[in-house]
Amino acid sequence: MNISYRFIGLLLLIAMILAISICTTISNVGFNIPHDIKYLSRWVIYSSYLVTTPIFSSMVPEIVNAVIWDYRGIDTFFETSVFYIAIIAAIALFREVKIELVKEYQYLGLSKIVKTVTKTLLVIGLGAAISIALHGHITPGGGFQAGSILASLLLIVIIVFSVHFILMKGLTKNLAIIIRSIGLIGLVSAIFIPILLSLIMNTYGFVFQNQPKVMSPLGLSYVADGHVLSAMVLLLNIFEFLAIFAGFLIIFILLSRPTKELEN
Amino acid sequence: MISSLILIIIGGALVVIGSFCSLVAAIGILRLPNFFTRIHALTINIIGGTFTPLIGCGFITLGLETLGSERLFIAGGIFFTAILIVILGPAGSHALTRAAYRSKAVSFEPKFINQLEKEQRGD
Repeated sequence: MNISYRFIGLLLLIAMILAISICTTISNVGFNIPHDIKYLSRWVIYSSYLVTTPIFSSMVPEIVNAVIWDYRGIDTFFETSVFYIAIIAAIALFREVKIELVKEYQYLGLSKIVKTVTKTLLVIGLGAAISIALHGHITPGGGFQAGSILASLLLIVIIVFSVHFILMKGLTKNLAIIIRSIGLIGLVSAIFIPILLSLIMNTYGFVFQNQPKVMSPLGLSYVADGHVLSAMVLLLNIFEFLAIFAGFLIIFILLSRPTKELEN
Repeated sequence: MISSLILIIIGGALVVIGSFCSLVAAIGILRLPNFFTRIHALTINIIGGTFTPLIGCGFITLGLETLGSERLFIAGGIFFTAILIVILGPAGSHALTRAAYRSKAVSFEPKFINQLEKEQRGD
């Protein structure tokens, strides 16, 4: 009885594997892509990056970043502000907690093998995070992703080396709050500077204005010395990177307190 | 042309070795008796089943000349991922095993010899 059940299960598994492989190799089985979608995607590409008429385009080669920071920038801005309000709530909740530093932090944490590997990973991951932040307008990625990578890397460091390592090296909660504030101020000023300029120059201006539009000539140049920089999207990615990484770092430092310390 | 064919054949052989190692590791994880032996099967999967086919995929990508010069980027990414895995995987399983041994959260049975316990007792 038991063996026959197993046999039926094995047959079903093999049938499923065969069906999936047939569907993926033979292109006629499965669904065909309709031609309208290609038309639509062509319009999306045109409105993302079209060198001939920059007025109707956001001039960001990476479409996801074009959508996030140009098509629906206000939506992203409010998402970001929800995240920061949550971080402010966490800071307010933990405001009574004082972190006592341990001077001999090298005896804490995991074994020496894991520590050495984590040091290697820290260098590689720092480079990867910064390159993802600076290349967000060309390759997939962006500020939020790079900040998340760096923050998760610091979470690994907190687990492997203990939180006192990070605090004794100078990356304290207050420094993280300062970095986060720099990122937020940069984000808000990059968003609202077109409106202030339009008031001064007596033209039209929009929130999140990336490129010059039909009625308003404001906007940074999308290309500098032959390199595509996508003007404001690069700035927004950098500021978002700073703010997100520092915000996550605050949460991780606060959450790594042991329960006994919190009860006192 | 012949060199690309050789690269593709080497890569395919590495992928086949990797799939065999994955199969062995899967059987080992299902059949081995306790945590420490199952960690051994997991390490076979990390190095044999992930690192080796990734290197093979890199060789195959280098051999496919129809992909153009972009294949160098893809191969570079693949090799970098393989190096990361070969650095990180053993460290992760080491940390896991050490934590399991020190916390005594897993059972040691069946065991033939525990050399670490003997050394700690000072025999």
